[in-house]
Amino acid sequence: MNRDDLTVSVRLLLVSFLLLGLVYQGSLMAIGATVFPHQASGSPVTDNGTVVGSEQIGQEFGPDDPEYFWSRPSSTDYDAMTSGSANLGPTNLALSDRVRATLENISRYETPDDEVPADLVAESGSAYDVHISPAAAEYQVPRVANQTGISEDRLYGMIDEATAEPWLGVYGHERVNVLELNRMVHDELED
Amino acid sequence: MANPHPLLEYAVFFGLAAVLIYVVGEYLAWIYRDEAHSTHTLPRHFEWLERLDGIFGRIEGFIYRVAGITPTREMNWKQFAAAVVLFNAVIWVWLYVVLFFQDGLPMNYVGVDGQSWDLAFHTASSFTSNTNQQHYGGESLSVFTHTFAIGITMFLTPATGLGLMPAFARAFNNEENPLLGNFYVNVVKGTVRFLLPISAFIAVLLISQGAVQTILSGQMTAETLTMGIQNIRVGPHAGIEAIKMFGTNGGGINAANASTAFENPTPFSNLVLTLAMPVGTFAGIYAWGAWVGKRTHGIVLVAAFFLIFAALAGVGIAGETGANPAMDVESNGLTVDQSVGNMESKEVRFGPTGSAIWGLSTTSTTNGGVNSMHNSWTSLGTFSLLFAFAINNVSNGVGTGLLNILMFVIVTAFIGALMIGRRPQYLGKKLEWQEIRYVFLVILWLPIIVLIPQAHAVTSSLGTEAIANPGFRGFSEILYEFFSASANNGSGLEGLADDTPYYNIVNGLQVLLARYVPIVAQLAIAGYLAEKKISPEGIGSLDTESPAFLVLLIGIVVIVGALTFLPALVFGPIGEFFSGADVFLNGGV
Repeated sequence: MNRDDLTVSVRLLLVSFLLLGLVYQGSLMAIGATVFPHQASGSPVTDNGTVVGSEQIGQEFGPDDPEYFWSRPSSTDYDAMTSGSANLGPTNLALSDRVRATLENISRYETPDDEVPADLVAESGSAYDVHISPAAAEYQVPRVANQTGISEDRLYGMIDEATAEPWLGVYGHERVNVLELNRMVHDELED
Repeated sequence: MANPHPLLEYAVFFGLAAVLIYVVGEYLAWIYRDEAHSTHTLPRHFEWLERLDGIFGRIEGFIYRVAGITPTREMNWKQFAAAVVLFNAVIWVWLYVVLFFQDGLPMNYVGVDGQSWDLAFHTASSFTSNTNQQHYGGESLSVFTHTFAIGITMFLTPATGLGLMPAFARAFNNEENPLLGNFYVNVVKGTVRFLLPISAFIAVLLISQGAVQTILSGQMTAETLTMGIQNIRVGPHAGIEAIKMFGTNGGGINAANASTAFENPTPFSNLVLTLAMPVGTFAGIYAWGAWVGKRTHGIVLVAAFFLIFAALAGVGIAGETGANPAMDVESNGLTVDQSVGNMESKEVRFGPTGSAIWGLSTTSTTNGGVNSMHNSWTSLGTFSLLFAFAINNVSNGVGTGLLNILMFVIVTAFIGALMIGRRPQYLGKKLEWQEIRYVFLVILWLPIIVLIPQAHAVTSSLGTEAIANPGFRGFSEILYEFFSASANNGSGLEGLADDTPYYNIVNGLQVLLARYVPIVAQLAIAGYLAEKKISPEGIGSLDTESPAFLVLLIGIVVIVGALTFLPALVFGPIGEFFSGADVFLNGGV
């Protein structure tokens, strides 16, 4: 072993703490805080000064909350201190059982159609996907209208407002932010 | 506006990738022009790069002084290999110490524990070797660990890979001169000129899209409508994510990796991060052509592996835009509309196509980051992922990718020359037994370190107890895990309960053997070739810039990969594909 090589390696690592640790991450934090303060701080959603969620992180809206639009199933109940799906494979009967149970929950309320959009019964990879497809949102309109008394037209309008488009229409999918949508439903009920 | 057609997304991605490979490839070729002993000239619209020399040079000069590097010191292959191994050993020790003791170190905002001895062994080995296979959830590391251990390793290990490329170019540009350059200079230049500025640019884009970035806090707290308090993990996500994707690292700051929004918030961020993977690796392959004075040859090499990558991505998309058989069920009159494709373990904003292109990008490089959970992919999609592993992750890693594909190129030149009755040579250097034996060692290394442990794991309860899904999928889970370790990739069919001493030790050894045995062998090859005379190519030499060479190269890569691993693939995704739906509908596997 060459002693010079060892010295150089250790000193190079020490420079890296400074340049690639502190300077790199610190200046990104500074740029974020000055140019994109909302995004860099986690895109908080606030209500009268209280943080009520993050625009990026889904919350649990499910069978216990028929008055809200439901989010996707989650094996971690939307715990955002951890992440990851149940990793069930495409020939695993446990996945079929879980899908049947979700369909059963959906069937307890008004359904506009016998075919449920896939994302409403499929778990997300992160386990806290904040989005559902426009089809999955529209599928839930009859139930939410019935439970809240808000007109279907008004709900369709809210879905439109909470919908984001694919990048330039050419990459990624349309999606509805469930948290944003349900905050609108919530605000409408409060008024 | 409706969702784009999968073919449109496919065209957008591969079109942009091709353009970026050219631009970043020329840039990379410029960075190491001197270190590669290359005399290539810059294309006219890249001449402005010369003006950057002064700025970068000053930063590098500062680092040389502080680190005690003598840039004029030249190394032969043995000294070069010793420097690589020693530098990486120092990184390994630092990682191990931080991982083991992180509970006692500062910036542990959410109170994580230190890792066990075997998990820390696996994690340190995995990150030092640029594999980033994780047997823990990213959330169980502290902000300190991510910023000052994992984060800097994510720069230094691709820089190690980058540093090998100009040394290998010397093998062909040197005339009877065994010196391959200075490893540390290559590492510093690769970091300062390539990894750092491009990662910083990507990170700012990510923040603009909604990625979080802080080193002063570990969580935010929200008062929700329906679930009480929701705590959300935050940290230096944007900074880590950028270098994680551009440096073929892949180890997520969150367990669910880039499927989580703080790592990958929008379709645009998803496009940028997906592009970052192949652009980093293919740029090196493109630069090879410039370094050896044959840009057309570089383009032929890029084209061969790019075609394989694009073909596998097509198979992946075909699989994931199809239905998931386990979701083809009925309850109280309701069924599932799977016209969009297989949505299980995928995010709505990416959709099946954006997830499939990512999946094949992460396995056609040694990245290993994921934006969907591969264990929920269809059998056809899973087959495309495992096939990419079988040919050593197509374009492999940043830097090491060029060296690994050159092993196939040298075999092609060797076989091609024998087919036309010429003495085998490549780029004017004769190929003889002392190099060729190492070339074959590198090519056979992957099957050796994957299949022998695989045979043990599937027949031992130590291996099979960890399986999450029954049947063929369980076999695939172990195969994928060993492939992932042995190709320095790092993704997984997650769900496999792999944080056991058995998997930590086996995978930990695999990642180290997979990284350093080929590197040392390749430096030896470079050393032998550098000492040879350059013999001019005659009219009868094998033309390495022709379509015929391209086809022969693809054929050799696919046949070597497919034949070696076909039996294993039959027990995994192929078996699942052919029996899947039928067996399944009759009561399950």
